[in-house]
Amino acid sequence: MSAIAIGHAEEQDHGHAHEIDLATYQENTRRNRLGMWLFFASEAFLFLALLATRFYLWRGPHGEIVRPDLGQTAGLVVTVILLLSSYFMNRAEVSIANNKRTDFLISLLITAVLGTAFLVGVVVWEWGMFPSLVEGHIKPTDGVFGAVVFGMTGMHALHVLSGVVLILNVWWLGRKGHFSSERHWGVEACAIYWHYVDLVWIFFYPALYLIGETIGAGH
Amino acid sequence: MSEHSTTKRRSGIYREGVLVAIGLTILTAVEFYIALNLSSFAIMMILALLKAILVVNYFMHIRSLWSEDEH
Repeated sequence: MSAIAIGHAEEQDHGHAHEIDLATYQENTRRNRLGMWLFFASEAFLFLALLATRFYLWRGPHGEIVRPDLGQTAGLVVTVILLLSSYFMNRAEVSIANNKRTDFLISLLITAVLGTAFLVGVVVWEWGMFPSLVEGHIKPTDGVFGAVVFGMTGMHALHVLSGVVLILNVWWLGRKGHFSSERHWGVEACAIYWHYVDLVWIFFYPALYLIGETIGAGH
Repeated sequence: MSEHSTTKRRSGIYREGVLVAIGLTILTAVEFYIALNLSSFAIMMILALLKAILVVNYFMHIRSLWSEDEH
């Protein structure tokens, strides 16, 4: 009888400790979230500077906004790929929050594949890194157009690359059971970072591909 | 919470992601169409802002910064 009572008390203690532990975890997560958003704010200065550079330098003879003739198909396709990847990242986050482990792992993998496809699209299709496969639309040496295109897409591609590495890391940890519906800050951080990368492209895409009159890259 | 209401809530959250993705795709298509036919800086920026609001609000859960219940 007393053994059962002790066992019950231990169970209660364990449950209480778990609750305290979870409360601490949630409190830490709230702080981590704030830190992550402050990091985004600092990153925003970098990307806003690049955007400002584009609108300052890409001007026609009469001060009108212009842009080089980049591949419209390439731009649209990589944009849709990145938007799709954001959807799957969100799906992964929702899945782990609902303890749907298989959905979570599959969605993460799809996100990583789509992120890689975006990178390949930019590097191969737009930059023309492999001219034997695809002739690129612009070179880094093409004056302000080349400098701005490669500066903006390069900085963004670097973030996409680090995002893909992060996603694969989370996937690997997820496979080993590191995350649960209650404790998955690692997944959330990775997800909001990935959406941030998408958010940057939401402004970079029209700035590079859509806004302004088309003008030759040689100017 | 009953099994039925939990399942309903889950499918609601999944559906929200699908709706946001559809919204983003439609806005991108509109953006592309306007760029080819109208080329208006203001409209392009408004469309980009609308897309950004969708992403920040629904995918990045900005509300979770000040709300304790938000995931």
